[in-house]
Amino acid sequence: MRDYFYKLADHAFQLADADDILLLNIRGELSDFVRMNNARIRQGGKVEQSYLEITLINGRKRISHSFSLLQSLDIDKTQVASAVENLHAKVSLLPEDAYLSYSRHIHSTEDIGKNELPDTQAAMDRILHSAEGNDLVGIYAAGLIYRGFANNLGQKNWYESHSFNFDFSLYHHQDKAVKSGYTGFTWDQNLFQGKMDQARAQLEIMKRDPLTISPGAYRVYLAPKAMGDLVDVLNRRAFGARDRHNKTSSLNRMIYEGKRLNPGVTILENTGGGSACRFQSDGFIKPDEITLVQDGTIKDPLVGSRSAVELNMECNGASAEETADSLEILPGKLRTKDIIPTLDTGLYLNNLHYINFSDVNSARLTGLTRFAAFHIKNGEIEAPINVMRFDETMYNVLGENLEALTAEQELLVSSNTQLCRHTECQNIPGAIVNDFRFTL
Amino acid sequence: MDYMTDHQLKHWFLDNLPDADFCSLRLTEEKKELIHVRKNVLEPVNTVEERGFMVTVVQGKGMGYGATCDISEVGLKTAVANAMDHCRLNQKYPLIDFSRIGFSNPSGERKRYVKTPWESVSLEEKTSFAKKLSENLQVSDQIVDWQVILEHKLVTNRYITSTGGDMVQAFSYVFPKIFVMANKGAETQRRSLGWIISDSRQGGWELLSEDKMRHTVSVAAEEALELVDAPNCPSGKMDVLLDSGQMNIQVHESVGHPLEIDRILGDERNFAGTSFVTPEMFGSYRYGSDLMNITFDPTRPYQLASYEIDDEGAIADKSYLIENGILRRGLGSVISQARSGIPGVANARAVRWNRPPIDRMANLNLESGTSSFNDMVAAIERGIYMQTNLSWSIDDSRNKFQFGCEFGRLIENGRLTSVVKNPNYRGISGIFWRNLKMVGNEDTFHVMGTPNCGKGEPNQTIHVGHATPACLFTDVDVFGGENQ
Repeated sequence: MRDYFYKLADHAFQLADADDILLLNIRGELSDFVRMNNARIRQGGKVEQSYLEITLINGRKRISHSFSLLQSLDIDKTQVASAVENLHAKVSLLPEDAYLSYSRHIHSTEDIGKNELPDTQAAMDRILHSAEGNDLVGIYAAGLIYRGFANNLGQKNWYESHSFNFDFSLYHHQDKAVKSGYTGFTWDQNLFQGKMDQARAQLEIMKRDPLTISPGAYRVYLAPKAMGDLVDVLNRRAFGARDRHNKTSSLNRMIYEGKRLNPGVTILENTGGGSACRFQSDGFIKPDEITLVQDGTIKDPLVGSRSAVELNMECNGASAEETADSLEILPGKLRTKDIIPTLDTGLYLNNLHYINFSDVNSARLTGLTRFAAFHIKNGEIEAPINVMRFDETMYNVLGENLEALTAEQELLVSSNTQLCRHTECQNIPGAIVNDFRFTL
Repeated sequence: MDYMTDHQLKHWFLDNLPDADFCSLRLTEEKKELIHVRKNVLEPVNTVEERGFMVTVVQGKGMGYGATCDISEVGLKTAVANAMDHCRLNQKYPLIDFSRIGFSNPSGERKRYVKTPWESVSLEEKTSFAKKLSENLQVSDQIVDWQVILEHKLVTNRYITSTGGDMVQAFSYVFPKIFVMANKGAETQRRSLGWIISDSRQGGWELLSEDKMRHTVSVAAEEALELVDAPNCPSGKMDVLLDSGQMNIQVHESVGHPLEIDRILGDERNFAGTSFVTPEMFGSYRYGSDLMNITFDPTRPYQLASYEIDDEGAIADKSYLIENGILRRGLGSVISQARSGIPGVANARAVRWNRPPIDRMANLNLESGTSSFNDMVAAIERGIYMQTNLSWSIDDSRNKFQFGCEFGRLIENGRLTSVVKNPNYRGISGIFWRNLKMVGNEDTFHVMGTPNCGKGEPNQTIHVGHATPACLFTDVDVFGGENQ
């Protein structure tokens, strides 16, 4: 698709007036989606989709139009010509854009992954044979994802990845289950089998009689996925320059009142070490690393292109939403083998569910335990617990109640398939937290 | 390779049917315009046009789909081949015996419900309207962020089957959104319209009455300012009176999702979750008090998710899901009904051409009662009136919920008194609904909905409609924000 996109871009640039700036963005996928329930196929299919967005900037005015591509060059060239003509007709009707911004510095990049994916039928054979005797639920999503950018200043960027994401759960009974996943670019049967075996081992524990715990404060271990779920929600309104300026950030008390997290907490947007796309839709390129929180103190914000003009800052490649796409929390010192002995007595939470702010100004989040959540007693796993609701501020979780972060992080690749398959990821350690509050 | 018209696509599809028991072609065309004014500055206007289709094939016990935006002979041929490949894979590992499912063959046309077509209004008029509203939100220096978004979507769906069905449905949706944030120190509070629960409807420009919208923005800005100076909502067991907007999300999360039959059958267990509702509960389970009457109602043409057929061709009609508090029927499509034996509705919906239909809510309403707003306030000795959803969370079985609202007002000895910020409440679905004490009359009933209901693997965020009156619940666990 890269060459096809550049042909369409060249065609669009030929149609531009001398004083036009054109920005073109393409996104698409060719993906298999196979949904499973009871270790059988519930629904499966293949989706091919490709969208082109053309942005016309004329003087200080700006307008955009997106459309689906047929991937037939003559027809799509006609669509491009029609779009450019319509944008020209409309742009004069608009006021000047006070926050007009696009990258004037030409920085072309290319990031193309190899296609070493297994055939979908072969992957399903392996998955469903391995799951025999288990109540497996989940989705296997695999195929090509691409993003591209080009402008008539000469910049070209291309991102192409061939990946799979098998996101699954093994169920025992009702809501007692274990969640796992296997993502990658090439299928490693041993690695996959290891994930299945590990999930089955945890499922055995889920078969024990569950405990119902009372509301109150508990010492907990938040496994990387559970910690990632919390940070994912915080990320929606924490690190953006606009939120910081407007005082709408959930970390207002760090920004404006000097509140600090635990000095062991450092949070990065680590594009260099992540799997997300490096360029954004106005042509700005993300640096390898942006430090969002350093040693517990708020640091640099994520600055999108429009905020950069509005707030007189430098754009650091953030998207319009100004959220981290490759969020990393640096590790601590607690070794994996020491997690349960260190926790001693408390709750071991692998996953959390349906998290939302319950008080944004205090970075307080509510949500629920889900999947493998265990009660640990005297350094031993005792039993699974029934679902509990928590309501706790991140100033406690990552602040004074944080006892330890694990030395090992887990790379969590997004299984989000909203609109199309996503590329974001997190690199997150687990954490032991004291007095984590459960309410219901 | 040539671009195909709908007519050509239909004929090529019917002339080149694969060797299968049943095939359908679902063609969707969508046009969107987004006008967004943030702090009185017009963001770049964005329009979207897309066209694509999904071919679904049923052969023996299997089903498969192929979807593409390549509207050409080659695109159609490839989509059919992809659907057949997946159908064969499904035949090897079938969860459902699709040979037992009888699909309908609807025909006809549903025209879009609109008085003033969106496209008949100039871009200048639309942007100027949004800008004026935005300017009315900036009433104080304490207003730190404010936005107005006007989104319009025009959708045409054509559903063609290998067994004679051919139906076209057209829809015009308007999604107005307004929000305003007020700040004092590190405390910021929001008032909004349409951010989570909205006044979105089917219709055109006529839905945006300037007088009504101006009044809304002026109230929103003043209430945001009131909130930054307000005390936290008190804690304790008390009565809560929920406005129609908050009732939307209460119905959505604690009634709608648990009644989805695909959840009950376990399809969603890896993502959205399961349900505390089990098949044997239908017909006898007391979900709520006698005042609780929940309907699936696609018949109000202007409500957000009204339609004549669902995305698998089933004819949509009004049905009671819960009648006088007793669970009668589930939210399940033809496929889910066949799998479960539970009576259902026509609710197989796909967000667009590139995602397969699954059980969704469509319009899920709470029928109005007989109590006036003043009657309900007068019945409360100590409680909170909560307006406009801000936060929502519920467990994977749809039992333990917690909701937060933007605006709260104390009710003391039968009278509305002072404003409180961060009003939250939590409970357990069954217990909560059985504590439904009074249901508001038609004057408190509003037709609304949410544009963002998420579910499904692959993920689909779809709009659903809700219409509810204000309601009074007793013995609710209420609390406020963090004590600083």
